[in-house]
Amino acid sequence: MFELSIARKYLLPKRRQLSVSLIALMSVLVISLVVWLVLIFLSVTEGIERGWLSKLTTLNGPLRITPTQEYFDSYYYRIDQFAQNSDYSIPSIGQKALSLKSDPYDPLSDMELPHRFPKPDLDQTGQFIDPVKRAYQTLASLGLSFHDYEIGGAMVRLQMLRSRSNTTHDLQQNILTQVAYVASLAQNTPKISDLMILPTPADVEHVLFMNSMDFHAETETIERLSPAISAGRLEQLIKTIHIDQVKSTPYWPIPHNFFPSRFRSPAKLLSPPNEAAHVILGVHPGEKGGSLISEKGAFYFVERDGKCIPLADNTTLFSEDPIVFEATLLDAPSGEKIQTEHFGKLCFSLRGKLGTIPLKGEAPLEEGLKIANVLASFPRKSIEDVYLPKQFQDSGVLIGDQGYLSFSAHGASSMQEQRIPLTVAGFYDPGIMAIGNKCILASPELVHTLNAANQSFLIDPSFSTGIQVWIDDLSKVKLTKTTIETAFAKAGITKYWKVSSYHDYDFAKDLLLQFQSDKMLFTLIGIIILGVACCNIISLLILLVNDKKKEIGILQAMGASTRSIALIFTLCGAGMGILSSFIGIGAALMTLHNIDTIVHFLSFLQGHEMFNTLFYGKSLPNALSSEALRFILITTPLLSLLAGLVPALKACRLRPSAILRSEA
Amino acid sequence: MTSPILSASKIIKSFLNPTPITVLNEVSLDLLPGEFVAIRGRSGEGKSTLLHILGTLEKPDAGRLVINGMDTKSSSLSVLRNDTIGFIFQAFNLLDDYSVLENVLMPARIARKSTALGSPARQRALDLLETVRLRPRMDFSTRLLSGGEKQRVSIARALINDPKILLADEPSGNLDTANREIVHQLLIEVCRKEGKTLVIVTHDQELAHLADRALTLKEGRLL
Repeated sequence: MFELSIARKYLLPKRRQLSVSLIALMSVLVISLVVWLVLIFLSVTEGIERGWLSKLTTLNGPLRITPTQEYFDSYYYRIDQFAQNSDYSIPSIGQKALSLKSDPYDPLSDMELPHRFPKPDLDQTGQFIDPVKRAYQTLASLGLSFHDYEIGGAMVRLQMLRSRSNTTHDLQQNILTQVAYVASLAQNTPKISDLMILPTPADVEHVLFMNSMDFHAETETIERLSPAISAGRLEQLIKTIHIDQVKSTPYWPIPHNFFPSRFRSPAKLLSPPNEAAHVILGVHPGEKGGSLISEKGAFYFVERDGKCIPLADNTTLFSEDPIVFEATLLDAPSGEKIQTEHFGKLCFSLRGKLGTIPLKGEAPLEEGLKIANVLASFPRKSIEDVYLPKQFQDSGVLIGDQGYLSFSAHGASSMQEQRIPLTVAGFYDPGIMAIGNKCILASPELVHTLNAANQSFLIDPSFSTGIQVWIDDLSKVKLTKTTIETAFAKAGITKYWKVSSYHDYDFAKDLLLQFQSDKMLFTLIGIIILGVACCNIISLLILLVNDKKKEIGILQAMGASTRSIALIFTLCGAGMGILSSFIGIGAALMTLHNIDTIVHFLSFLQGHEMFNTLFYGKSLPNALSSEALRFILITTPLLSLLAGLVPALKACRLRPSAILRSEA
Repeated sequence: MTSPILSASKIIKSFLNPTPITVLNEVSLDLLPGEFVAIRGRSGEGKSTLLHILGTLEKPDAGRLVINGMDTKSSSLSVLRNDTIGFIFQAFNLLDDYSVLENVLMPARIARKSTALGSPARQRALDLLETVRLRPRMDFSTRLLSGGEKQRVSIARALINDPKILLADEPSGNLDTANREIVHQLLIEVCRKEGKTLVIVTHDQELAHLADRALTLKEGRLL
C-alpha cells in the first residue's frame, strides 16, 4: 500500500524538516501524556471502586432478600410469640429454616389467639405456606450460596487495660464507649478473610498480656487469673501465634554470652563514678571512642592511644539502636507444656547482628525485647468474640480488649440494662460505607440474643434481618436477581420477600451513583483533553501539507487519486494517534507498576500522606483497567483519524497544475 | 485510417489575472499513436496550460478531450494519468526523499503493482535505468544527481507504466547544451522504439524540426 509507505516517510523525523519533526514530537508527547493520565486515573478509580465493591458485597452480600411488611404482618411471623414450641419468642430466619414445624402453634396447649390475629396463608392445594423454608428450597435449587443475617444495635463499652511495660505491675485503664450496629457474621461468609486486618505485633503482645486477665461485664472489673489457668490458656494461645522476629529496646543491655568469643568493635566507654563501667557499642561519626575487644571470654576497652583497659564481668554492654533478632520460641515445643503463665517469660532463641558482630543467645521477652514480626490468627472461639471496624484501631483498641454490649430489655416491671460480654478478636476493613465504622461483626447467636431482647432500635424491621446471597461474578447480579424473583413467584412467596442487588442498597446507592458520575465526568474530560491534544495533529498536518505541496502535485501527476492523497494524511494522523497511545500505555503500565514508590515519593515531597489510607487503602490499585485500555485504544486513534481528515481534505483540494506550475 | 490516441476539440481556457484572459481559444488537436509533435510558442502563450489540459492535470473551461478512446469527463482522471500518460517536466519534479529506483517505481506503486525484487515492474525499472544509462546510480538519492541525470530519471519514471502518450514540458529548459542533446536524443529514441506518442513543448527550433509535426501556439490558437 503506497499510501502507508508515503505516510510513514512523512512521519519519520528528518533533519531537513526540523520544525515539522519537533511539532510532530510535541504532538505525540502531548497525546501520550493525556493517554497516560486518563489510563492512570481510570485504572486507579476503577481499582478503588472494585475494592470498595468487593468490601461492600463481602459484608452485605451482592444480593439481599429482605422480608416485606406482609411477612412481618403474617400469621407465619407472628405466631411464634404465642407458641410454646417457639418458646414464645420470635426466631431468626435461620432458625425458622431449621425448625421442624412450619406452624408451631398448638391450639390445645397454647393460649387462644387474639380476635383479629391474621389467618394462616395457604396455597392453592390448601398447604400452609412457609415463606422461609420455600425461599431456602428455591435458593438451594438455583445452586446459590446463601445464609441469613441479622443486624442489631447496642452500646459497646470497651475496657482498654494497658501495661506500661512487659511486666503486669504497672497498669493503666481507659474506657471507650460508642453506639454501634451489631451485624451477624456467618462463619462461612465467602472472602471475609480478605477484609480482616492482620494482627500487629502490638495486638499479639496485648493478646498475650490479656491472657492472664478476666473481665466481668456485670461489675466492670478485671481480675487476674490463677497462674495455672493462665499457663493453660497461654499454651493454647501460643499455638496460633508464630513470632519470627523480636526487637530490642534502645539501650538494651546485651547479655555477655550473646557475643562470640573473639571480636572487635568500635565502642564508647562510660564510667560513672562509683558504678560499674558501661560500654556503648558503635561510634557515631564525629564522636571520640575506642574499641571493645573480646578475648577468651574477657572484655577489654582499647582507647585511641592504644591504652588497654580490662573490663569487669559486670560491665554492661549496650547498643544505642534497637537490634532485630530472628526468633524461635523455646518454651512451647509442640506437645510440651508451657512452663510459665506470663508471656513475658516466654523464652526465645535469638540470632542477630550488631554491625558485623554476630549475636546469638536465649532471652525472655520481658528482658527488654518486643515482638517485631508475627504471623497470628485469632479465629472466633466463642460467641463473645467480635470484629471491630478498623477505625477502632485509631482509638487505641487492640485485639484482646474486653468489654460488653449494653442494651435495654423489658424486665418484669420496667426496662432494664442488659450486658453481653465481648472480646475483640480482630479488626476488619468496612470500606467507605457511612455506617461502616459503626458496624461490629459478631456471631449470629449474639446478634439474635440482642434482637430478641431489644426490637425497638429500628423503625424498619426489614433492615434488621434477611438472607444474603453470594455469587462470584458481580456482573451477573442483575440476572441472578431476576432469576430469584421468577423462582419466588413460581414458589408463591413473592409477597413475603424483596430481592435487592447491591445497586439498590440504601447505604451504598448514593456512593455508587457518585462513582459512576465521577467516572463519566472524567471520561468526558479525557475525551475533551484528547480532542484538544489531537488538534495539535491538525496544525502539524496542515504544516506538512504545505511542506509537501510539490510532492502532492507530483504524485497526482503520476496518477495518485485525490482519495489516495487524503488517505496519506489521514494515515499520518491515525499513525500519530496509535504511536501516542502505545507510548502512553507503556508509560501508564510503568507508572502503575511503581505506583507505591511514586506515591511514597510524592508524599515525601508534600510532607504528609498523599492519599488518605482510610479512603484509598494502604496502597493504590496497580492493575491497568481493561475498560480504560479499550477506551483509549478506540478513542485516541479515532480522534487522531478525525484530526487527520481536516488536512487530508485540504491536501486533496490542491490543484496539481497550479502546484507544478508554481514550483517550476 | 488510424484513430487518434488523443483528441482535443475546441478547448477553451481562461484565467483571471485580474481580468479574464483567454489563453486557449477553441484549440483542437488530434495525436496519432507513435506520433512526435512539438508545440512552440512564446512564453505566456499557454503551451504549458495546453500540455496540462492534455495530461488532465487541468480542466478546460470548455471543449472535449478524449484520450485512448475515453472521454475525460466521464473517466477517472487519476487512472488515466497513471495508465496512459507519462509526464516529463522542465523542473524534473522528482521526489527528493527517494532513491533513483524508488522514483522510477513510484507510478507502478501508485498503480498497486508489485515492486518487490524480481517483479515485472522492478525489472522494467531496471531496464529503463539501463536505457537512460543510470543503472549504476539506482540507489543514489536524486539530490546527488546532475540536472541531465535527473531528467533521465524522470524519462524512465514517465515510461515505467508503459504509457501510450508522453507529455514533455520543455524537458531541456534547465539543461546545458551537452545534456540537452542527450535528453532529446534519448527521449526521441525511446519513444520511437516503444511506439509512444510524444508531445514536446519547446522553444528549441532544432528539436521542433525533428518532430513529425511542429505546431505553434499563438494568441490562444494552435497553428
